[in-house]
Amino acid sequence: MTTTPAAAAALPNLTDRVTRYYTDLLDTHGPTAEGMGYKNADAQELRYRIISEVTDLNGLAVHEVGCGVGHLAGLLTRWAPRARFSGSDILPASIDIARRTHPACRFAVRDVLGPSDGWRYDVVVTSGMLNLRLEYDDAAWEQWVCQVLRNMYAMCTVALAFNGMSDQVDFRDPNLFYANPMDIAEFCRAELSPQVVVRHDYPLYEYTVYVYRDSLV
Amino acid sequence: MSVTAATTDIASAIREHFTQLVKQYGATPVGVGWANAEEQLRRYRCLLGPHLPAGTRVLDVGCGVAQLAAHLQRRDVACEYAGIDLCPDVIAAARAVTPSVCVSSGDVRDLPPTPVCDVAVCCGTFHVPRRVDATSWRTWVFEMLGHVFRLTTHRLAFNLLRVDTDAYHGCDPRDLFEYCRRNLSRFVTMRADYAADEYTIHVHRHVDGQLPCRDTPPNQDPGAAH
Repeated sequence: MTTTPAAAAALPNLTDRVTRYYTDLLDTHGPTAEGMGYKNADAQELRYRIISEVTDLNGLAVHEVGCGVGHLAGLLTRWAPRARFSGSDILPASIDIARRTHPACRFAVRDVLGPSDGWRYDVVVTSGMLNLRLEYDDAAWEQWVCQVLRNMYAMCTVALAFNGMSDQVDFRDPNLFYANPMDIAEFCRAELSPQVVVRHDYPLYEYTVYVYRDSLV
Repeated sequence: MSVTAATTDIASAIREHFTQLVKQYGATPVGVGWANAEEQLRRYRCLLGPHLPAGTRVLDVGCGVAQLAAHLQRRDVACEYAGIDLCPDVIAAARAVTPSVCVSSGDVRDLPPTPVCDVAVCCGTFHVPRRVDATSWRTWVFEMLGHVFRLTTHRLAFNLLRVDTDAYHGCDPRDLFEYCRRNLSRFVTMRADYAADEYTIHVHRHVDGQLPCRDTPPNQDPGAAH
C-alpha cells in the first residue's frame, strides 16, 4: 500500500492536532454522538444510514476508518445484523471504549495512512473524517483526502463509502473542508473506479459517495 | 411557451432520426437506439430506483416504443404509466405491440407546467444526433429538465452520455449535476455505476424518499392535456 510522505509533510502535526481535538470532545461529551464531533445523535444516525445503503451489508466484512467509540457497530446490529463489523481509529481512548462496548467486533488503533499489512475488507467506510481541515490550507487538505481515499479503496474488495461537506451550504465553519461533490466523484472515477454514485439527496448540507469495484446493478 | 427555431430543429432532428430507426428495426431496443436489451434493463433499474409504490404515476418522456411500461409490468409494480414521444411513427409502433398502453405523440413542452406525475423518467431522451449544434442541444436539455421537473410531484430521473459519441451528443456530468442542484432542487443523486459511458441523475423535490401510495389512481393521461 502507498503511504504519503508528501501529503503528511504538507500537514505538519496532523495526528497530534486531530488527537487533541477529539480527546477534548470525548472528555467534554463522553462516548456520545456529540463526543464524536456530530451535532447530535440524529444527524449521526442519518449519515450512517446513508453510508450503510452502499449495498446490502449482511454477510459482508465492513470496516470503518475513524470509527471513534464504534457507534456504527451498534447501528448495524439493527440495519444489517449479519454484517461483520470492524473499526480503526487513531485515538486509543476511543478504541478502548469501542472494545468494551462491542466485544464481538474487532477494533484497532491505526492510521489509515500508516503501514497497512495488507488489510482487506468487503466494504470500507468513513463518516465525517474528511471534514475537519482545521487551519490547514484547502489544497493540502484535498491532497490528504485523496490519499486517504486511495488507501481506503485499496483495502476494499467490493465498495468504498464516505461522506463530506457539500460546497452548497448555508453556513461555512472555517475549520471544515467543503467540496463540490462532483469534483470528488471525478477524482474517484479517474483514480479508483468508474463505478461511482453521488448522493446529495438527504437533508444535511453534505454528500455521500459510493465507489464500487464492479457494478452491482 | 416559446419554442425557438433551434429547439424546433432539435424536435425535427429527433423525429427524423428515430422514425428512421424504428422503420429499420421495429419495436425493439435497437429500434429506439439502444445497443441491447440487457443494457436497457440496467438503465431502467437505475432510473426507477428500488422503491416504487403501487399507484405511483410515472411519466415516460421520450417513451419510444414504451418498453418501460413492459418493464414495470414485469416488475409487477402497479404503476400508473403514461408515455409521450415526439415521433408519431414510434407511438404507432408502441400501440401496435401493446394496444392498451397509455402513450401519446407530442412535445412534452406543450404540456402546462403543473404536476401530472409523481416520477418523470427521461431515458435516452437527450440522445440527440450530432448534426444538431452543441449549444442548441445544451440549451434544449436544460430547458427540458426545467419543464419536466415542473410536471413532477416527487422526482425527475434522466440519463445522458458522458461524452459525445459518433452518433449522439453527450455532456460532462459535473455540468448537469451543477445545473440541477442550483436551478431545480438541491437534492440530487448521480449514478455512474451501471454503464461505462453514461450516467443517471435523479432530482428530488423532497428528501423523505417516500412516494405516495394511492387507493384511487387519478386520471393522468398526458395526451388528455393537449
